[in-house]
Amino acid sequence: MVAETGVTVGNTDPALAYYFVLIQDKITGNWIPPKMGAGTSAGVSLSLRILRSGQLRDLAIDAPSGERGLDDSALRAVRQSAPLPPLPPLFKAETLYLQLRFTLVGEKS
Amino acid sequence: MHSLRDLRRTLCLLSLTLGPLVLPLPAWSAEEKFTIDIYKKEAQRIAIAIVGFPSFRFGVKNDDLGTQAGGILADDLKNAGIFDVIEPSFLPFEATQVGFGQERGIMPALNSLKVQAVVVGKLSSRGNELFLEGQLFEVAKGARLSAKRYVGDQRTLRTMVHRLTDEIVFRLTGEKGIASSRIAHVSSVDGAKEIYVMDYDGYNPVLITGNRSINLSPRWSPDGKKIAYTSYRDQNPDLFVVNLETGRRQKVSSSPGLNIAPAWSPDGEWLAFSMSNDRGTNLFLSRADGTGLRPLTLGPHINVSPSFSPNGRQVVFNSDRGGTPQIYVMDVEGTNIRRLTFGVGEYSVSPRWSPRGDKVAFVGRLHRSFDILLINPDGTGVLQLTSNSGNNEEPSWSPDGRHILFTSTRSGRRDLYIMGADGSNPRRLTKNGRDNYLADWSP
Repeated sequence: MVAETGVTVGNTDPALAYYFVLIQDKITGNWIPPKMGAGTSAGVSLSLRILRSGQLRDLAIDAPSGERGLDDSALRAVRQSAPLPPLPPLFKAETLYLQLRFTLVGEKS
Repeated sequence: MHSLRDLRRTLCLLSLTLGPLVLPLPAWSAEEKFTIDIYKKEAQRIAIAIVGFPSFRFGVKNDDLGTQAGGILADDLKNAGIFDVIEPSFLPFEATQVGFGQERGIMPALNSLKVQAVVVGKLSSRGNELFLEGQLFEVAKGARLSAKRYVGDQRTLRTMVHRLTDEIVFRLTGEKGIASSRIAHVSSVDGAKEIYVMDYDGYNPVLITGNRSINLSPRWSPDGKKIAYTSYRDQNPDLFVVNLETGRRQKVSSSPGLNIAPAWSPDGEWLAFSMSNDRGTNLFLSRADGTGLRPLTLGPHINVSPSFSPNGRQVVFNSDRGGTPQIYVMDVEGTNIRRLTFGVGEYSVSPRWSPRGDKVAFVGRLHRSFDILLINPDGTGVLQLTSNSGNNEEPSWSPDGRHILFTSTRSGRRDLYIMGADGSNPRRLTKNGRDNYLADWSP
Protein backbone atom coordinates (compact mmCIF):
# COMPACT_ATOMS: atom_id res chain seq x y z
CA MET A 1 0.00 0.00 0.00
CA VAL A 2 3.01 2.23 0.06
CA ALA A 3 2.84 4.39 -3.01
CA GLU A 4 5.28 7.18 -2.55
CA THR A 5 8.93 7.17 -1.63
CA GLY A 6 11.17 10.16 -1.53
CA VAL A 7 14.94 10.18 -1.76
CA THR A 8 17.09 13.03 -2.93
CA VAL A 9 20.84 12.94 -2.80
CA GLY A 10 22.37 16.05 -1.24
CA ASN A 11 25.97 17.14 -1.28
CA THR A 12 28.28 14.22 -0.74
CA ASP A 13 31.50 12.73 -2.00
CA PRO A 14 30.94 11.94 -5.70
CA ALA A 15 32.71 8.63 -5.21
CA LEU A 16 29.95 7.62 -2.85
CA ALA A 17 26.92 9.50 -4.12
CA TYR A 18 25.93 6.91 -6.68
CA TYR A 19 26.67 4.09 -4.25
CA PHE A 20 24.36 5.65 -1.67
CA VAL A 21 21.57 5.93 -4.19
CA LEU A 22 21.93 2.22 -4.92
CA ILE A 23 21.70 1.44 -1.21
CA GLN A 24 18.74 3.73 -0.72
CA ASP A 25 16.90 2.16 -3.62
CA LYS A 26 17.54 -1.38 -2.48
CA ILE A 27 16.62 -0.87 1.17
CA THR A 28 13.62 1.34 0.40
CA GLY A 29 12.35 -1.33 -1.96
CA ASN A 30 12.60 -3.96 0.76
CA TRP A 31 11.00 -1.86 3.46
CA ILE A 32 7.41 -2.71 4.25
CA PRO A 33 6.57 -0.61 7.29
CA PRO A 34 3.55 -1.17 9.54
CA LYS A 35 0.47 1.02 9.38
CA MET A 36 0.72 4.43 11.02
CA GLY A 37 -1.86 6.72 12.55
CA ALA A 38 -3.17 9.46 10.29
CA GLY A 39 -0.86 12.42 9.97
CA THR A 40 1.75 11.05 12.40
CA SER A 41 5.34 10.21 11.70
CA ALA A 42 8.00 8.12 13.40
CA GLY A 43 11.62 7.30 12.79
CA VAL A 44 14.17 4.69 13.77
CA SER A 45 17.90 4.96 13.33
CA LEU A 46 20.12 1.94 12.62
CA SER A 47 23.86 1.66 12.23
CA LEU A 48 25.89 -0.92 10.38
CA ARG A 49 29.19 -1.50 8.64
CA ILE A 50 29.45 -2.49 5.00
CA LEU A 51 32.49 -4.60 4.07
CA ARG A 52 34.23 -4.09 0.74
CA SER A 53 32.35 -7.15 -0.56
CA GLY A 54 29.00 -5.60 0.35
CA GLN A 55 28.47 -7.94 3.30
CA LEU A 56 26.96 -6.39 6.43
CA ARG A 57 28.37 -6.32 9.96
CA ASP A 58 27.33 -4.85 13.33
CA LEU A 59 23.72 -4.08 12.42
CA ALA A 60 22.16 -2.45 15.47
CA ILE A 61 19.44 -0.02 16.47
CA ASP A 62 20.92 3.37 17.43
CA ALA A 63 17.70 5.13 18.29
CA PRO A 64 14.50 3.10 18.49
CA SER A 65 11.23 4.65 17.37
CA GLY A 66 9.20 3.44 20.31
CA GLU A 67 7.22 1.32 17.86
CA ARG A 68 8.49 -2.23 17.95
CA GLY A 69 6.84 -3.05 14.61
CA LEU A 70 8.55 -0.13 12.90
CA ASP A 71 11.96 -1.02 14.36
CA ASP A 72 11.56 -4.64 13.26
CA SER A 73 10.45 -3.62 9.77
CA ALA A 74 13.60 -1.48 9.39
CA LEU A 75 15.89 -4.29 10.55
CA ARG A 76 14.12 -6.68 8.19
CA ALA A 77 14.52 -4.29 5.27
CA VAL A 78 18.29 -4.09 5.85
CA ARG A 79 18.74 -7.84 6.31
CA GLN A 80 16.77 -8.54 3.16
CA SER A 81 18.96 -6.12 1.25
CA ALA A 82 22.15 -8.01 2.13
CA PRO A 83 24.55 -8.29 0.48
CA LEU A 84 24.63 -4.67 -0.64
CA PRO A 85 26.61 -3.73 -3.75
CA PRO A 86 30.42 -3.91 -3.21
CA LEU A 87 32.03 -0.66 -2.07
CA PRO A 88 33.07 1.59 -4.96
CA PRO A 89 36.82 1.39 -5.84
CA LEU A 90 37.34 5.11 -5.25
CA PHE A 91 36.33 4.68 -1.64
CA LYS A 92 39.58 3.51 -0.06
CA ALA A 93 38.63 2.37 3.46
CA GLU A 94 37.95 -1.32 4.05
CA THR A 95 34.59 -0.75 5.69
CA LEU A 96 31.95 1.91 5.40
CA TYR A 97 30.25 2.95 8.61
CA LEU A 98 26.70 3.93 7.94
CA GLN A 99 23.73 5.26 9.78
CA LEU A 100 20.30 4.62 8.26
CA ARG A 101 17.46 6.84 9.37
CA PHE A 102 14.10 5.36 8.56
CA THR A 103 11.20 7.79 8.59
CA LEU A 104 7.60 6.78 8.08
CA VAL A 105 4.84 9.31 7.60
CA GLY A 106 1.31 8.12 8.22
CA GLU A 107 -1.41 8.78 5.74
CA LYS A 108 -3.51 11.89 6.02
CA SER A 109 -7.22 11.51 6.05
CA MET B 1 38.03 9.79 21.68
CA HIS B 2 38.53 10.70 18.06
CA SER B 3 35.44 12.79 17.84
CA LEU B 4 37.28 15.58 16.07
CA ARG B 5 37.92 13.22 13.19
CA ASP B 6 34.33 12.30 13.03
CA LEU B 7 33.60 13.90 9.70
CA ARG B 8 30.05 13.00 9.48
CA ARG B 9 28.39 13.68 6.25
CA THR B 10 24.73 13.62 5.71
CA LEU B 11 22.91 12.58 2.69
CA CYS B 12 20.03 14.90 3.04
CA LEU B 13 16.52 13.91 2.60
CA LEU B 14 14.57 16.48 0.70
CA SER B 15 11.09 15.20 0.79
CA LEU B 16 8.66 17.01 -1.38
CA THR B 17 6.15 17.11 1.39
CA LEU B 18 8.22 17.39 4.53
CA GLY B 19 11.28 19.40 3.63
CA PRO B 20 14.68 18.39 4.93
CA LEU B 21 14.88 16.41 8.14
CA VAL B 22 18.22 16.56 9.86
CA LEU B 23 18.75 14.88 13.19
CA PRO B 24 21.81 15.32 15.39
CA LEU B 25 24.04 12.28 15.06
CA PRO B 26 25.89 10.58 17.89
CA ALA B 27 29.63 11.12 17.52
CA TRP B 28 31.30 8.13 19.06
CA SER B 29 33.10 6.59 16.16
CA ALA B 30 36.61 7.00 14.93
CA GLU B 31 35.44 6.15 11.47
CA GLU B 32 33.86 8.54 9.12
CA LYS B 33 30.16 7.97 9.51
CA PHE B 34 27.73 8.54 6.71
CA THR B 35 24.00 8.88 7.00
CA ILE B 36 21.34 7.83 4.58
CA ASP B 37 17.68 8.56 4.95
CA ILE B 38 15.13 5.94 4.05
CA TYR B 39 11.77 7.59 3.78
CA LYS B 40 8.29 6.38 3.11
CA LYS B 41 4.97 8.03 3.08
CA GLU B 42 1.96 5.82 3.27
CA ALA B 43 -0.22 5.90 0.23
CA GLN B 44 -2.63 8.72 0.54
CA ARG B 45 -6.09 7.32 0.47
CA ILE B 46 -8.85 9.04 -1.44
CA ALA B 47 -11.34 10.67 0.93
CA ILE B 48 -14.78 9.91 -0.45
CA ALA B 49 -18.28 10.70 0.79
CA ILE B 50 -21.52 8.93 -0.05
CA VAL B 51 -24.71 10.98 -0.17
CA GLY B 52 -28.24 10.29 -1.32
CA PHE B 53 -29.65 6.75 -0.93
CA PRO B 54 -32.52 7.98 1.26
CA SER B 55 -34.79 5.47 2.90
CA PHE B 56 -36.37 3.35 0.17
CA ARG B 57 -38.76 0.47 0.63
CA PHE B 58 -39.56 -1.83 -2.23
CA GLY B 59 -43.15 -2.96 -2.78
CA VAL B 60 -44.68 -4.51 0.32
CA LYS B 61 -41.31 -5.62 1.75
CA ASN B 62 -40.29 -3.62 4.76
CA ASP B 63 -36.55 -3.83 4.14
CA ASP B 64 -34.98 -0.42 3.77
CA LEU B 65 -33.15 -1.05 0.52
CA GLY B 66 -31.91 2.53 0.18
CA THR B 67 -30.02 2.33 3.45
CA GLN B 68 -28.79 -1.15 2.51
CA ALA B 69 -27.44 0.09 -0.81
CA GLY B 70 -25.55 2.92 0.88
CA GLY B 71 -24.14 0.47 3.42
CA ILE B 72 -23.00 -2.02 0.75
CA LEU B 73 -21.31 0.79 -1.19
CA ALA B 74 -19.52 2.04 1.93
CA ASP B 75 -18.29 -1.51 2.73
CA ASP B 76 -17.17 -2.06 -0.87
CA LEU B 77 -15.19 1.18 -0.90
CA LYS B 78 -13.54 0.32 2.43
CA ASN B 79 -12.70 -3.18 1.19
CA ALA B 80 -10.96 -1.71 -1.86
CA GLY B 81 -8.23 -0.56 0.53
CA ILE B 82 -7.66 2.80 -1.18
CA PHE B 83 -10.43 4.96 0.27
CA ASP B 84 -11.27 6.73 3.47
CA VAL B 85 -15.04 6.66 3.50
CA ILE B 86 -16.31 9.73 5.32
CA GLU B 87 -18.99 8.94 7.88
CA PRO B 88 -22.27 10.78 7.13
CA SER B 89 -22.28 12.15 10.69
CA PHE B 90 -19.09 14.11 9.87
CA LEU B 91 -20.89 15.99 7.11
CA PRO B 92 -22.42 19.38 7.98
CA PHE B 93 -25.60 18.57 6.08
CA GLU B 94 -28.11 15.73 5.94
CA ALA B 95 -26.43 13.35 3.50
CA THR B 96 -29.61 11.45 2.62
CA GLN B 97 -31.37 14.67 1.57
CA VAL B 98 -28.98 15.32 -1.31
CA GLY B 99 -30.38 14.43 -4.72
CA PHE B 100 -29.14 14.67 -8.29
CA GLY B 101 -28.66 18.29 -9.34
CA GLN B 102 -28.12 19.44 -5.76
CA GLU B 103 -24.48 18.36 -5.54
CA ARG B 104 -23.18 21.83 -6.36
CA GLY B 105 -24.52 23.11 -3.05
CA ILE B 106 -22.50 20.65 -0.95
CA MET B 107 -19.15 21.01 -2.73
CA PRO B 108 -17.85 23.93 -0.61
CA ALA B 109 -18.57 22.04 2.61
CA LEU B 110 -16.95 18.84 1.24
CA ASN B 111 -13.97 20.84 -0.01
CA SER B 112 -13.39 22.39 3.40
CA LEU B 113 -13.40 18.86 4.92
CA LYS B 114 -10.78 17.85 2.32
CA VAL B 115 -13.17 15.30 0.83
CA GLN B 116 -11.86 14.56 -2.67
CA ALA B 117 -14.74 12.68 -4.25
CA VAL B 118 -18.43 12.26 -3.62
CA VAL B 119 -20.94 9.69 -4.82
CA VAL B 120 -24.58 10.67 -5.15
CA GLY B 121 -26.73 7.53 -5.12
CA LYS B 122 -30.38 6.93 -5.78
CA LEU B 123 -32.58 3.87 -5.73
CA SER B 124 -36.00 3.73 -7.40
CA SER B 125 -38.40 1.12 -8.74
CA ARG B 126 -40.96 0.39 -11.41
CA GLY B 127 -42.93 -2.80 -11.02
CA ASN B 128 -40.49 -5.47 -9.93
CA GLU B 129 -37.56 -3.63 -11.44
CA LEU B 130 -35.06 -1.82 -9.26
CA PHE B 131 -32.94 1.04 -10.57
CA LEU B 132 -29.66 2.04 -9.02
CA GLU B 133 -28.19 5.33 -10.16
CA GLY B 134 -24.81 6.63 -9.11
CA GLN B 135 -22.99 9.80 -10.05
CA LEU B 136 -19.38 10.42 -9.12
CA PHE B 137 -17.98 13.94 -8.66
CA GLU B 138 -14.52 15.26 -8.11
CA VAL B 139 -15.03 17.77 -5.31
CA ALA B 140 -12.21 20.26 -6.02
CA LYS B 141 -13.33 20.96 -9.57
CA GLY B 142 -16.98 20.10 -9.07
CA ALA B 143 -16.64 17.92 -12.17
CA ARG B 144 -18.83 14.91 -12.81
CA LEU B 145 -16.61 11.91 -13.55
CA SER B 146 -19.26 9.30 -14.11
CA ALA B 147 -23.00 8.75 -14.22
CA LYS B 148 -24.28 5.17 -14.33
CA ARG B 149 -27.61 3.44 -14.03
CA TYR B 150 -28.05 -0.23 -13.21
CA VAL B 151 -31.26 -2.18 -13.61
CA GLY B 152 -32.04 -5.30 -11.56
CA ASP B 153 -34.34 -6.48 -8.85
CA GLN B 154 -34.29 -6.93 -5.12
CA ARG B 155 -32.17 -10.11 -5.35
CA THR B 156 -29.49 -8.45 -7.42
CA LEU B 157 -29.14 -5.29 -5.34
CA ARG B 158 -25.71 -6.32 -3.99
CA THR B 159 -24.46 -7.11 -7.49
CA MET B 160 -25.69 -3.75 -8.77
CA VAL B 161 -23.90 -1.89 -5.97
CA HIS B 162 -20.71 -3.94 -6.57
CA ARG B 163 -20.81 -2.85 -10.22
CA LEU B 164 -21.19 0.78 -9.18
CA THR B 165 -18.21 0.39 -6.80
CA ASP B 166 -16.01 -0.97 -9.56
CA GLU B 167 -17.04 1.92 -11.79
CA ILE B 168 -16.02 4.38 -9.04
CA VAL B 169 -12.69 2.59 -8.46
CA PHE B 170 -11.96 2.59 -12.18
CA ARG B 171 -12.79 6.28 -12.64
CA LEU B 172 -10.65 7.35 -9.69
CA THR B 173 -7.67 4.96 -10.01
CA GLY B 174 -7.71 3.60 -13.56
CA GLU B 175 -7.61 0.08 -12.12
CA LYS B 176 -10.22 -2.64 -12.34
CA GLY B 177 -11.95 -2.99 -8.98
CA ILE B 178 -12.58 -6.24 -7.09
CA ALA B 179 -16.16 -5.68 -5.89
CA SER B 180 -17.66 -7.73 -8.73
CA SER B 181 -15.14 -10.56 -8.31
CA ARG B 182 -16.14 -13.87 -6.77
CA ILE B 183 -14.62 -16.58 -4.66
CA ALA B 184 -14.83 -20.33 -5.28
CA HIS B 185 -14.17 -22.52 -2.26
CA VAL B 186 -14.91 -25.81 -0.55
CA SER B 187 -17.39 -25.84 2.33
CA SER B 188 -18.75 -28.60 4.52
CA VAL B 189 -21.81 -26.50 5.41
CA ASP B 190 -24.11 -29.17 3.95
CA GLY B 191 -22.22 -32.14 5.39
CA ALA B 192 -20.35 -33.23 2.26
CA LYS B 193 -17.38 -31.30 0.85
CA GLU B 194 -18.97 -29.26 -1.89
CA ILE B 195 -17.72 -26.40 -4.05
CA TYR B 196 -19.48 -23.06 -3.70
CA VAL B 197 -19.08 -19.70 -5.41
CA MET B 198 -19.80 -16.54 -3.42
CA ASP B 199 -19.36 -12.80 -3.84
CA TYR B 200 -15.95 -11.41 -2.87
CA ASP B 201 -17.44 -10.17 0.43
CA GLY B 202 -18.77 -13.59 1.46
CA TYR B 203 -22.42 -13.01 0.48
CA ASN B 204 -24.60 -15.07 -1.89
CA PRO B 205 -22.97 -18.52 -1.74
CA VAL B 206 -24.11 -20.70 -4.67
CA LEU B 207 -23.63 -24.47 -4.74
CA ILE B 208 -21.61 -25.60 -7.75
CA THR B 209 -21.16 -29.35 -7.22
CA GLY B 210 -23.90 -30.93 -5.09
CA ASN B 211 -22.82 -34.56 -5.56
CA ARG B 212 -22.62 -35.33 -1.80
CA SER B 213 -19.05 -36.45 -2.31
CA ILE B 214 -15.62 -34.85 -1.79
CA ASN B 215 -14.82 -31.96 -4.11
CA LEU B 216 -11.51 -30.09 -3.91
CA SER B 217 -9.25 -27.37 -5.35
CA PRO B 218 -11.58 -25.24 -7.48
CA ARG B 219 -9.72 -23.00 -9.96
CA TRP B 220 -11.31 -20.24 -12.08
CA SER B 221 -10.56 -20.11 -15.76
CA PRO B 222 -8.99 -16.78 -16.80
CA ASP B 223 -12.29 -15.64 -18.39
CA GLY B 224 -14.20 -16.41 -15.18
CA LYS B 225 -16.66 -18.67 -17.02
CA LYS B 226 -15.39 -22.10 -15.96
CA ILE B 227 -14.07 -23.80 -12.86
CA ALA B 228 -11.70 -26.78 -12.84
CA TYR B 229 -11.78 -28.98 -9.74
CA THR B 230 -11.10 -32.45 -8.41
CA SER B 231 -14.04 -34.64 -7.40
CA TYR B 232 -14.41 -38.10 -5.84
CA ARG B 233 -17.91 -38.26 -7.39
CA ASP B 234 -17.02 -41.50 -9.19
CA GLN B 235 -14.85 -42.81 -6.31
CA ASN B 236 -11.51 -41.93 -7.95
CA PRO B 237 -10.20 -38.34 -7.56
CA ASP B 238 -10.88 -37.17 -11.14
CA LEU B 239 -10.44 -33.78 -12.71
CA PHE B 240 -13.54 -31.93 -13.95
CA VAL B 241 -14.29 -28.62 -15.65
CA VAL B 242 -17.71 -27.06 -15.17
CA ASN B 243 -19.01 -24.25 -17.37
CA LEU B 244 -20.83 -21.83 -15.04
CA GLU B 245 -22.94 -20.36 -17.85
CA THR B 246 -24.25 -23.61 -19.34
CA GLY B 247 -23.87 -25.91 -16.32
CA ARG B 248 -22.08 -28.39 -18.57
CA ARG B 249 -19.65 -30.58 -16.65
CA GLN B 250 -16.79 -32.39 -18.36
CA LYS B 251 -14.44 -35.01 -16.95
CA VAL B 252 -11.01 -33.92 -18.12
CA SER B 253 -8.72 -36.49 -16.53
CA SER B 254 -9.60 -39.75 -14.81
CA SER B 255 -6.51 -41.91 -14.81
CA PRO B 256 -6.41 -44.42 -11.94
CA GLY B 257 -4.85 -42.63 -8.96
CA LEU B 258 -4.75 -38.90 -8.34
CA ASN B 259 -5.93 -36.28 -10.84
CA ILE B 260 -5.55 -33.20 -8.67
CA ALA B 261 -4.67 -29.53 -8.11
CA PRO B 262 -5.39 -27.95 -11.50
CA ALA B 263 -4.09 -24.57 -12.71
CA TRP B 264 -5.20 -22.70 -15.83
CA SER B 265 -2.71 -21.19 -18.24
CA PRO B 266 -3.28 -17.41 -18.60
CA ASP B 267 -4.72 -17.90 -22.11
CA GLY B 268 -7.28 -20.40 -20.76
CA GLU B 269 -6.18 -23.05 -23.28
CA TRP B 270 -4.27 -25.36 -20.95
CA LEU B 271 -4.54 -27.02 -17.57
CA ALA B 272 -1.56 -28.07 -15.49
CA PHE B 273 -2.34 -30.69 -12.85
CA SER B 274 -0.87 -33.73 -11.09
CA MET B 275 -1.39 -37.42 -11.78
CA SER B 276 0.03 -40.24 -9.72
CA ASN B 277 1.15 -43.76 -10.48
CA ASP B 278 3.28 -46.29 -8.62
CA ARG B 279 6.42 -44.35 -9.53
CA GLY B 280 5.46 -40.91 -8.26
CA THR B 281 3.13 -37.93 -8.58
CA ASN B 282 4.00 -35.76 -11.54
CA LEU B 283 2.81 -32.61 -13.24
CA PHE B 284 1.13 -32.80 -16.64
CA LEU B 285 -0.21 -30.32 -19.12
CA SER B 286 -3.32 -30.91 -21.21
CA ARG B 287 -5.74 -28.83 -23.19
CA ALA B 288 -8.73 -27.66 -21.15
CA ASP B 289 -10.78 -30.52 -22.67
CA GLY B 290 -8.24 -33.14 -21.59
CA THR B 291 -6.62 -33.73 -24.97
CA GLY B 292 -2.96 -33.22 -25.85
CA LEU B 293 -1.68 -34.61 -22.55
CA ARG B 294 2.05 -34.29 -21.97
CA PRO B 295 4.30 -34.56 -18.91
CA LEU B 296 5.98 -31.56 -17.27
CA THR B 297 7.92 -33.45 -14.61
CA LEU B 298 9.23 -37.01 -14.50
CA GLY B 299 10.54 -39.07 -11.64
CA PRO B 300 9.78 -40.80 -8.36
CA HIS B 301 8.92 -37.66 -6.37
CA ILE B 302 5.77 -35.72 -5.53
CA ASN B 303 5.25 -32.69 -7.81
CA VAL B 304 2.03 -30.75 -7.16
CA SER B 305 0.32 -27.34 -6.83
CA PRO B 306 1.23 -25.64 -10.12
CA SER B 307 0.60 -21.94 -10.71
CA PHE B 308 1.41 -20.12 -13.95
CA SER B 309 3.32 -16.85 -14.20
CA PRO B 310 1.05 -14.11 -15.65
CA ASN B 311 2.97 -14.23 -18.96
CA GLY B 312 2.38 -17.98 -19.16
CA ARG B 313 6.05 -18.80 -19.69
CA GLN B 314 6.80 -20.31 -16.28
CA VAL B 315 5.14 -22.53 -13.70
CA VAL B 316 5.82 -22.40 -9.97
CA PHE B 317 5.11 -25.66 -8.13
CA ASN B 318 5.78 -27.76 -5.08
CA SER B 319 8.14 -30.75 -5.04
CA ASP B 320 9.84 -33.00 -2.49
CA ARG B 321 12.66 -33.89 -4.90
CA GLY B 322 15.17 -32.26 -2.51
CA GLY B 323 14.02 -34.27 0.52
CA THR B 324 11.41 -31.89 1.95
CA PRO B 325 8.57 -30.15 0.10
CA GLN B 326 9.88 -26.90 -1.35
CA ILE B 327 8.87 -24.38 -4.03
CA TYR B 328 10.36 -24.73 -7.52
CA VAL B 329 10.03 -22.83 -10.79
CA MET B 330 10.27 -24.28 -14.28
CA ASP B 331 9.71 -23.12 -17.83
CA VAL B 332 6.33 -24.15 -19.21
CA GLU B 333 8.07 -26.79 -21.34
CA GLY B 334 9.14 -28.55 -18.12
CA THR B 335 12.76 -27.46 -18.50
CA ASN B 336 15.08 -25.26 -16.45
CA ILE B 337 13.79 -26.39 -13.05
CA ARG B 338 15.24 -24.44 -10.13
CA ARG B 339 14.48 -24.28 -6.43
CA LEU B 340 13.09 -21.04 -4.97
CA THR B 341 12.80 -21.64 -1.23
CA PHE B 342 15.79 -22.38 0.97
CA GLY B 343 15.72 -22.38 4.75
CA VAL B 344 12.19 -21.00 5.09
CA GLY B 345 10.97 -23.11 7.99
CA GLU B 346 10.71 -26.88 7.69
CA TYR B 347 8.97 -26.92 4.36
CA SER B 348 7.13 -24.74 1.87
CA VAL B 349 3.97 -25.52 -0.12
CA SER B 350 1.00 -24.02 -2.06
CA PRO B 351 2.74 -21.43 -4.28
CA ARG B 352 0.60 -18.89 -6.17
CA TRP B 353 2.07 -16.43 -8.63
CA SER B 354 0.78 -12.85 -8.19
CA PRO B 355 -1.27 -11.32 -11.04
CA ARG B 356 1.36 -8.59 -11.40
CA GLY B 357 4.06 -11.24 -11.65
CA ASP B 358 6.34 -9.68 -9.05
CA LYS B 359 5.70 -12.06 -6.11
CA VAL B 360 4.90 -15.66 -5.31
CA ALA B 361 2.72 -16.26 -2.23
CA PHE B 362 3.26 -19.58 -0.48
CA VAL B 363 2.81 -21.41 2.81
CA GLY B 364 5.76 -22.15 5.08
CA ARG B 365 5.75 -24.44 8.08
CA LEU B 366 7.38 -22.26 10.74
CA HIS B 367 7.63 -23.06 14.44
CA ARG B 368 4.89 -25.71 14.34
CA SER B 369 2.39 -23.50 12.54
CA PHE B 370 1.68 -22.75 8.90
CA ASP B 371 1.99 -19.17 7.74
CA ILE B 372 1.64 -17.22 4.49
CA LEU B 373 4.81 -15.74 3.03
CA LEU B 374 5.89 -13.92 -0.11
CA ILE B 375 9.02 -14.49 -2.16
CA ASN B 376 10.33 -12.84 -5.31
CA PRO B 377 10.36 -15.12 -8.37
CA ASP B 378 14.18 -15.03 -8.25
CA GLY B 379 14.21 -16.51 -4.74
CA THR B 380 15.04 -13.29 -2.87
CA GLY B 381 12.99 -11.15 -0.51
CA VAL B 382 11.15 -13.62 1.69
CA LEU B 383 8.50 -11.81 3.69
CA GLN B 384 6.22 -13.34 6.32
CA LEU B 385 2.65 -12.01 6.19
CA THR B 386 0.88 -13.95 9.00
CA SER B 387 2.09 -14.97 12.45
CA ASN B 388 0.74 -16.08 15.85
CA SER B 389 -2.74 -16.70 14.48
CA GLY B 390 -3.37 -20.43 14.04
CA ASN B 391 -2.55 -22.13 10.76
CA ASN B 392 -2.73 -19.93 7.66
CA GLU B 393 -2.77 -21.74 4.33
CA GLU B 394 -3.85 -21.82 0.68
CA PRO B 395 -3.17 -18.24 -0.44
CA SER B 396 -4.97 -16.87 -3.51
CA TRP B 397 -4.46 -13.38 -4.98
CA SER B 398 -7.19 -10.83 -5.69
CA PRO B 399 -7.40 -9.97 -9.39
CA ASP B 400 -5.79 -6.57 -8.72
CA GLY B 401 -2.94 -8.10 -6.68
CA ARG B 402 -3.68 -5.83 -3.70
CA HIS B 403 -5.20 -8.53 -1.47
CA ILE B 404 -4.64 -12.17 -0.52
CA LEU B 405 -7.42 -14.64 0.28
CA PHE B 406 -6.44 -17.50 2.59
CA THR B 407 -7.67 -20.17 5.00
CA SER B 408 -7.00 -19.69 8.71
CA THR B 409 -7.79 -21.61 11.91
CA ARG B 410 -7.32 -18.49 14.05
CA SER B 411 -10.95 -18.64 15.19
CA GLY B 412 -11.07 -22.43 15.61
CA ARG B 413 -12.46 -23.98 12.46
CA ARG B 414 -11.04 -23.42 9.01
CA ASP B 415 -12.46 -20.17 7.66
CA LEU B 416 -11.67 -17.83 4.79
CA TYR B 417 -9.98 -14.50 5.39
CA ILE B 418 -8.76 -11.61 3.23
CA MET B 419 -5.75 -9.45 4.05
CA GLY B 420 -3.78 -6.76 2.25
CA ALA B 421 -0.93 -8.13 0.14
CA ASP B 422 1.39 -6.68 2.80
CA GLY B 423 -0.33 -8.70 5.55
CA SER B 424 -2.41 -5.76 6.79
CA ASN B 425 -6.03 -5.68 7.97
CA PRO B 426 -7.06 -9.36 7.92
CA ARG B 427 -10.84 -9.81 7.96
CA ARG B 428 -12.98 -12.89 8.15
CA LEU B 429 -15.28 -13.81 5.26
CA THR B 430 -17.05 -17.04 6.28
CA LYS B 431 -18.96 -17.57 9.51
CA ASN B 432 -21.26 -20.53 8.88
CA GLY B 433 -19.91 -22.70 11.70
CA ARG B 434 -18.45 -25.30 9.31
CA ASP B 435 -15.11 -25.68 7.55
CA ASN B 436 -14.54 -23.32 4.61
CA TYR B 437 -11.25 -23.68 2.77
CA LEU B 438 -9.34 -24.25 -0.51
CA ALA B 439 -10.50 -20.94 -1.94
CA ASP B 440 -9.70 -19.40 -5.30
CA TRP B 441 -10.33 -15.74 -6.18
CA SER B 442 -11.90 -15.18 -9.60
CA PRO B 443 -10.22 -13.03 -12.27
